[in-house]
Amino acid sequence: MSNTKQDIRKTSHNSFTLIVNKFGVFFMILVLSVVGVLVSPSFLSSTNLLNILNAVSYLGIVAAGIAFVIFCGQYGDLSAPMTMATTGVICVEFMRYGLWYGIIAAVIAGAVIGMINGFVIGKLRVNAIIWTLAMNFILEGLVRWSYKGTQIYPDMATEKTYTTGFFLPIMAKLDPNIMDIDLVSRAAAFNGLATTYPLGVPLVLYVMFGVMITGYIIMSKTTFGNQLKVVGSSYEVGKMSGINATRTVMMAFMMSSIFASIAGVFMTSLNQVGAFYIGQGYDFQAVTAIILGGMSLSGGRGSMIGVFGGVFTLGLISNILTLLGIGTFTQKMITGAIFITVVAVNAKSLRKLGRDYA
Amino acid sequence: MGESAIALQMNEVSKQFPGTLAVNKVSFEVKAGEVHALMGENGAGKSTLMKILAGSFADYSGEIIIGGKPVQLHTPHMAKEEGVGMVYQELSIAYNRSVEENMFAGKIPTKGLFVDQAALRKQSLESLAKVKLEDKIDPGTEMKNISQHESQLIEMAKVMNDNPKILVMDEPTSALSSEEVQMLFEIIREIKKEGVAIVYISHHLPEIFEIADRVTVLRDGKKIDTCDIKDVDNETLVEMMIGEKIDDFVRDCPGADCNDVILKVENLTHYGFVHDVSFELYSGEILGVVGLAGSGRTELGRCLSGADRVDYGRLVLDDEEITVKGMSQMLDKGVAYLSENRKTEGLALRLSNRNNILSTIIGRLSQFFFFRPKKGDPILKELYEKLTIYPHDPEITTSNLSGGNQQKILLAKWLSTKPKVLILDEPTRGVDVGAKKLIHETIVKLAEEGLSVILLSSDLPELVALSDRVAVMRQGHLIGDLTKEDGFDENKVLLAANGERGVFSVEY
Repeated sequence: MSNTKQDIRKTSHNSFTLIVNKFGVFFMILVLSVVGVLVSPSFLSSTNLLNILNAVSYLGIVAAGIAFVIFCGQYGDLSAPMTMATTGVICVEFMRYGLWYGIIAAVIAGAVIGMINGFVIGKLRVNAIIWTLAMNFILEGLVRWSYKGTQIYPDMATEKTYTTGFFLPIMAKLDPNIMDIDLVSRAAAFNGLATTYPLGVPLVLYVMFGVMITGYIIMSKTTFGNQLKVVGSSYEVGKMSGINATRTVMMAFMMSSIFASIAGVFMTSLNQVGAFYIGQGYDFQAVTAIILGGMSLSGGRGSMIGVFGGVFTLGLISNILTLLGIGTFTQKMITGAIFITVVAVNAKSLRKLGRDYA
Repeated sequence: MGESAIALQMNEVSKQFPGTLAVNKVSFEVKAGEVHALMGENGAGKSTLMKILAGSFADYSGEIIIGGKPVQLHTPHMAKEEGVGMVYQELSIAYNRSVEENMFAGKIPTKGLFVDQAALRKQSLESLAKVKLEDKIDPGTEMKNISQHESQLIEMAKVMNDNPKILVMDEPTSALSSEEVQMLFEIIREIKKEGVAIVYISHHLPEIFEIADRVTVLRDGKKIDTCDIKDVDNETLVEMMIGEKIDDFVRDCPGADCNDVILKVENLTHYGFVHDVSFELYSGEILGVVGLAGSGRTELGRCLSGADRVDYGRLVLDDEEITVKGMSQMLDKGVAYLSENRKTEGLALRLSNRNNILSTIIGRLSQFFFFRPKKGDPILKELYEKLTIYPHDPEITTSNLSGGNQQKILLAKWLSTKPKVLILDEPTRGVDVGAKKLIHETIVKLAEEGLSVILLSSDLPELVALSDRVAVMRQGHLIGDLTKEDGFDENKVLLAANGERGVFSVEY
């Protein structure tokens, strides 16, 4: 009886819009590849492709983390650069007891930073951009203050080294034999992280794919990921659906900081020095890549596959510009312009689909 | 002013959204000095048609003639210039500014570089006089201290400042008490006398019969007909709106065994909102809770479901004493709360229906931290059939559904948790007649299956038709209840809620 007559109006969107929305970034990759081949015949060589991937592998790790924050509807984690630097420094401090000590200490430090961010933003509902920006400043101040303006080299072990830093003075106090540690081999192991090429492919690239796949599984297959989707689409709805929204937001920020700390360790190893400037600019680039990959700034929409697409696209653009002989400064301007365009298009396409609200 | 001067004429106006023809060749005319009601179910195209008139779209097709002159309404500014005034359901108010600043936003009189306070005061008093508020409100008051009803009148005065030829009012009475509605109608009649053409959008049939001169009904984006209000009655209008005949819903005999107490509440208190509320709820019973705005009705629902803090009180559910800790705990215990705010607290409109319905049971459908969406398929299938949700595809984004179907999705979301006690806060707010009937039928069917329902509603006919028992709340206290044996009707319930008659000694 309640079978009211069929409403004949169309209820689905035209599929082209949806496809562009979902896979637009891969279409862009295709176009860029064609452009690349036209620019240089060696563009599609495996060496060049590997170069492109290698160049964006650090970005990929950071972006995979920040993607959780954006998926959560929180616009971005601007504390990522200093999280990278801080955890990198902590890794260098602890690696004198062994590489794994360093890595684990860095990841724990990352988790703590993420927990603080997540608590403040999830529980106290502070604006994420403002808070993480402040956090970035606090961390920068903390690193520069602890090190009294100096940097930390993995193989550096003079008396003076143990008077600065976060944990080094404590270590020196607890362990009288600390000067006897054979730092040369430990430092070589740490510095080797970024220059190891298992099967001819840089280690960091394996790590990036590992992080991306882990991120993909967490985001789309787990309980947490699915709850994050609801909370990301609307915090209030999530809360009123019996989801612990505070904890969900907190975990999203922890994912971001933990992934940033992994990138921080590799970045520090690549630079062979722990310093506050490690990771600068990665927040902005990561957000660009994520939005490019079709994730919506308003949360709850997009996937890790898109994030990889966005990261790869940025790599392609940078590679093509380099092949054309365009310098780094110009490339920065171009990246900025891409960011603005992508955000504008993202906002507009959402509005067109009638999804600009809540 | 000629009797039949046509103020507004729309000829074959259409508006296409991606995937939807929201307004399909609608022709529509309003005479000067008439109140023209525009009716239709949610999603029929009323709002879109009025948005075209307000200049929200630059890409409509068809012809619009205002005062005999073809016009183009491509921006809100153009529409204003042509004399279209809109009073929306959601008011546009800067709450931290004064009444007068709000009323003259954008055209505050100035003297040189400074605001001309004296002129502003004089103009705002003149303007307030149009809505009979000049004695009641000091124009210097901040808007946040003004009641909802008066804010609406102020908004109207603000629109009238531009001397519109056409005034569009979208559901102006949805938040008003019956007395306030009468005041509003008086003002509308005044404005009408000045020769302003009024388009009045409402779901509320009795109002239409009281205030409108003519009525136009839209359905599925098309115009069905325009009639004089004298020529139609309730049934014909409803039939025009939904395309079939619908009987008023009356609940048959309530479920037979209502003897087991499923929920016992003693002295439930949330300071400032709910005080010492005690009641018992039987299995299979529908308990209506009535109370004016601010009576603590919604807060009671929120406390019971764990959304709000419970300061003290005892809660026994199914012979188990419970200390309320939070929503997820209460959901696990079997108490579900359907919020009155569908768009902000109920549904994540950007997600698919599947995601929305299953959002409450992500944890339950998971194993070892992994979500198993396949396990939700039978639940979805069952709920879709039970609630006849159209279109029959859980992957569609919820925002693309009509209001009624969205409300069904919201109901499905809570039913998926298999609750023992279902608290429904305004389950049919802003829902069209057809969907409303189906939701009512579903509630009754669920109660017959043994589910206990607490129905918080300001829709008195709904409350009276569905409830086995009505509890009355006033100022945070439960002041008594009316049972079927006492014989309650809309009048008795209303009087009890207003505190004008004692509850237990209702005498006529």
